[in-house]
Amino acid sequence: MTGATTKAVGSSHRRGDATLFVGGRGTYIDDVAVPGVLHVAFLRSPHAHARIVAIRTAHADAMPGVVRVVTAADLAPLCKGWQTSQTYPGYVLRTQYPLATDRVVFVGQAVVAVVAESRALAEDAVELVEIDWELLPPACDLEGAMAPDAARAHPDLAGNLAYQADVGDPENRALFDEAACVVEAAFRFNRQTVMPMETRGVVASYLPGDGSLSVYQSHTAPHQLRSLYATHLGLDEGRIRVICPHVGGSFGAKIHLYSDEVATVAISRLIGRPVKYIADRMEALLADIHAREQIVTAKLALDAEGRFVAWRAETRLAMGAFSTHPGSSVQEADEAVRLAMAPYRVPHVGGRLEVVFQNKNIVGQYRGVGHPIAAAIGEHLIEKAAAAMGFDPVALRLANYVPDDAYPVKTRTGIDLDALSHQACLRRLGEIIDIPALRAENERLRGEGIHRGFGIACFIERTATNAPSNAHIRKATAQDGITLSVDPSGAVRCAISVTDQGQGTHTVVAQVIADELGVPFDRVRIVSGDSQATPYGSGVRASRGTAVGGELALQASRELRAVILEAAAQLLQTGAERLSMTDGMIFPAGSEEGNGISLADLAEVVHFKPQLLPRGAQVSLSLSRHLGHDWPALVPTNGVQASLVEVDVRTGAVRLLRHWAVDDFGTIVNPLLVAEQVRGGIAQGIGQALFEELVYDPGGQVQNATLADYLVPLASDLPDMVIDHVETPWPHSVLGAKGAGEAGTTGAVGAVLNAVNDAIRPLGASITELPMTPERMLAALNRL
Amino acid sequence: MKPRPFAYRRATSVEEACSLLDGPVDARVIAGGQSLVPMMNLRLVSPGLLVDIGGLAELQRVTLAGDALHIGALVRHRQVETDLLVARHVPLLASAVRHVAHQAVRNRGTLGGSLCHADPAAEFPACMLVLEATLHIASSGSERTVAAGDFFRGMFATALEPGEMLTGVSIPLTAARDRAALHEMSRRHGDLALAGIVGRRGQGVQRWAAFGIEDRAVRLFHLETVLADRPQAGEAEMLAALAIDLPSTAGAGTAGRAKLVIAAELARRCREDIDRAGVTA
Repeated sequence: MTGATTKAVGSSHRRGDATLFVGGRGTYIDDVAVPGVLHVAFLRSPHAHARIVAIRTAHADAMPGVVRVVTAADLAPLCKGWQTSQTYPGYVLRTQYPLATDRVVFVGQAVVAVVAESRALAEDAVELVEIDWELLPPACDLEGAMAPDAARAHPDLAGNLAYQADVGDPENRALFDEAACVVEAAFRFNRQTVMPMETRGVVASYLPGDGSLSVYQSHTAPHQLRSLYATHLGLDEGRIRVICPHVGGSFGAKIHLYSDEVATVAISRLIGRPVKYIADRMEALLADIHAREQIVTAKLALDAEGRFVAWRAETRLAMGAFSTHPGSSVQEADEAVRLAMAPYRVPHVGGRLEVVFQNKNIVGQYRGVGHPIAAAIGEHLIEKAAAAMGFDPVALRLANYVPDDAYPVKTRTGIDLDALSHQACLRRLGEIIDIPALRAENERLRGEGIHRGFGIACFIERTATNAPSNAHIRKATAQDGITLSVDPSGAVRCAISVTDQGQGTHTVVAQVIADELGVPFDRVRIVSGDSQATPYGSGVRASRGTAVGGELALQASRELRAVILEAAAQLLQTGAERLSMTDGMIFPAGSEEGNGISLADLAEVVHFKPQLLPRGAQVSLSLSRHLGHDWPALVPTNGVQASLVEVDVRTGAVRLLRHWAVDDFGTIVNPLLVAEQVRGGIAQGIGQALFEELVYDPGGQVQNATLADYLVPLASDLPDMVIDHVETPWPHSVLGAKGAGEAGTTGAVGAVLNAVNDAIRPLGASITELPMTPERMLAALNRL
Repeated sequence: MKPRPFAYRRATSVEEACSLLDGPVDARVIAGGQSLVPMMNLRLVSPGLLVDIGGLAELQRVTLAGDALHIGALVRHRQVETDLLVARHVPLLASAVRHVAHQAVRNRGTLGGSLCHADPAAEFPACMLVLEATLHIASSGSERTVAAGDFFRGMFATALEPGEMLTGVSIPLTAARDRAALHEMSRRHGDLALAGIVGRRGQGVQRWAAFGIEDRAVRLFHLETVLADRPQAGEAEMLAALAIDLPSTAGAGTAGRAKLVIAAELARRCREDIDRAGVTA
């Protein structure tokens, strides 16, 4: 028998598709070529809130190269509109349509679509469309959203409140009144967007007469899309095919369904021709989901020994004009309140969330969904309490954690947690950073007028969502599926419902299959993102690619391996239990090389020389498996991050010096891909902490809808990051992997917030509004 | 995000370029295109004709001419960054250019383009103010010069008349050899400045300018007076002078106040550099 080869799982395998992408040979949505395709451009609302009095399209219609100018009236017979699928008791919803009907409710809302022979011509024609507007008062003020005289985002609303809920324990003022120490803060998290490198896009091709619809879309959940298009356009789901080609990043932006996308598909149905819509960067800034905009107040009570006694947080989320679809906008606020302080033993944890309508774009699920806010508010107040009471912030956390050996637990806010390792992660952080020495150095530099700060944030991230909790998201997340086949050449084909949005899911799935089957990594090929070619399932979202896709691949591979070994046993005239397969070679245990058979030879026999096998049913080297109700609703993970910053107190500039992350993702399949997930996530968390803010003026106009003004962090702005791990395998799966996609973003916000406050606290200053711009820093430092 | 339709001509001489610019259509010069093309794609500007001067070799040279260094309008930022004559005679420019965007942009963008675009946050207009440069302007059949102090008229607005184009700038060597410094603050490396200050100090001469603050690069006459009288004037005094020099910023609430505070600190840093040695090549 050959020597044991290196296991693929646990190695930093190079991505199988790296050559393709680096060579510029990927097929992204704009690369999809369909013969005769026409191009769509949208006239988008220039107003936050206005009635559409009249639309005149004659000049646009008459322009050479224009095929059709489409308004809401044209699409009304094809699409009756939709509301979010994820509902809550008392959630007030308003119906969305592909194009605005009688009113516009945010700047950037699609109003008229022009179909032309080129995108440039379509944009020229958009300028020829004339609309008479009657301006309505815009509801854009979050603080004043519920005032009795506040403008309403929709005139028929009784008020702007869309949803409210109390979570956890009811407020108990006595606990705070009688506590040895109470720290509190008011936070403001400003509006951001997602900004994948590739913008959204759709190529839709409806074939009249045949009644079939093909949709190519930059999206991460093709089966979900197919369901939604069937429902919203009244089509036979069985005649719809959705293909998601290579996806240049999603981070949540591409799990939603947008009105411009439904409009594009509906237009193809309307005119019976293929049409393409690619969002440009300004459209991405105006109309991709927005995120985070919340004002939060929170307080933490401690006893004299530093034990946490009670916590309360109240948040108000600026939802925008509608709830996102199919997952709702409520998640952002709900997770923020529910997850705060989840790492700790706190006898009383309560909170309240309010979700309000605004005449702004829709808030949806961006990487981390509420978790970054949960971590930031809890960890900020813990460090504030440590400073107030003279405790070491590390010791204070260790004294209050739910101990690693105490799981499973349920939080006071109703969240099930298991297999977490806060103590181990923080201890590991202490091993890779000499925290006392770092603090002493910061203290010494402070004497020289250099203001450095060190901050920590630990957090919980709920990942790998699946049935049954999210089945409301229009069927798609109820289960996942995989089909494995061995080709006559011995190559392994995998068709899987879990998709790849650029993060490397295919590589991870291939690694698991290679190990579990016993074949070389490069003999495994993955297909995903095609509703016609893959089993039904959820795609990727909520850090589920490895945890769910990997487990599915593992279970299916083990079953297929048994089938392969049974067939081989018949050829080799031995018992299957005596056989094993390594590197694509099947051997009897303990036998010499040459006594076995390769998978390729076996596959050739099965496909072309079945007469060599005993009579009976044809052996099938192909099988499908599904993972559904046996999977938990969500898999919790945990981690801790630390940040070292230097604040220029004379200009308000914050310089990032170093960043550390210790995460527990359970079993790590590919350390390199995990590290890059964490780094990219940290970059986005840093964006929230220091750079990214979509500025709306009081009238609802977006002030910075270009990448010159909306600042995403650049590589040159980011610090070195040290990535480390604790591995507590998820005990309820065989693979043991947990989600790794969002932890970076979730922890980074609080870590940077705490580091900046650590730097300026000795000056009597504090900052709790993000991003921490120079102006806000100077104000916090009392320099203005 | 596509531009409106436009015509395109590539000029083979300054004369031809000027005559194209002088036509009935709204024409714009395109050189590096690093600012103009994005603005066209956003449909913020929509010239009917683009006159490409990229082939005019005579505008691509840096030459010593008497007591001035002449820099052609088509000299790329990258060339400013690496040119030996610029390094020796106007080290301020060689230092300033490192704040201009990123290498890819500097490979294409031109000095003349930056001056004619007149972005209030750009470095070069402010440098020209403190260096007291002369701008050379051509039109069909004639040439004229304009002092830098008279060239910048507002946001994206200059003294160029229709049919005119900038051919180059002359920087007096006496000014260029004085100690000078530039500091700017931007949110990210390579971004347009949130606030910037450039200063020059010679024999009895103080020349200071601000960029990224008002609607154009602005000479800081009051600051110059204060520093001429008291070279080590304190922060409060510099802040007070800047509030007079930058009136619309001083009246712009917290955001304006933040810019002034930052500007005063940047001015202090410029002075510190000048005291030490000024920029060197």
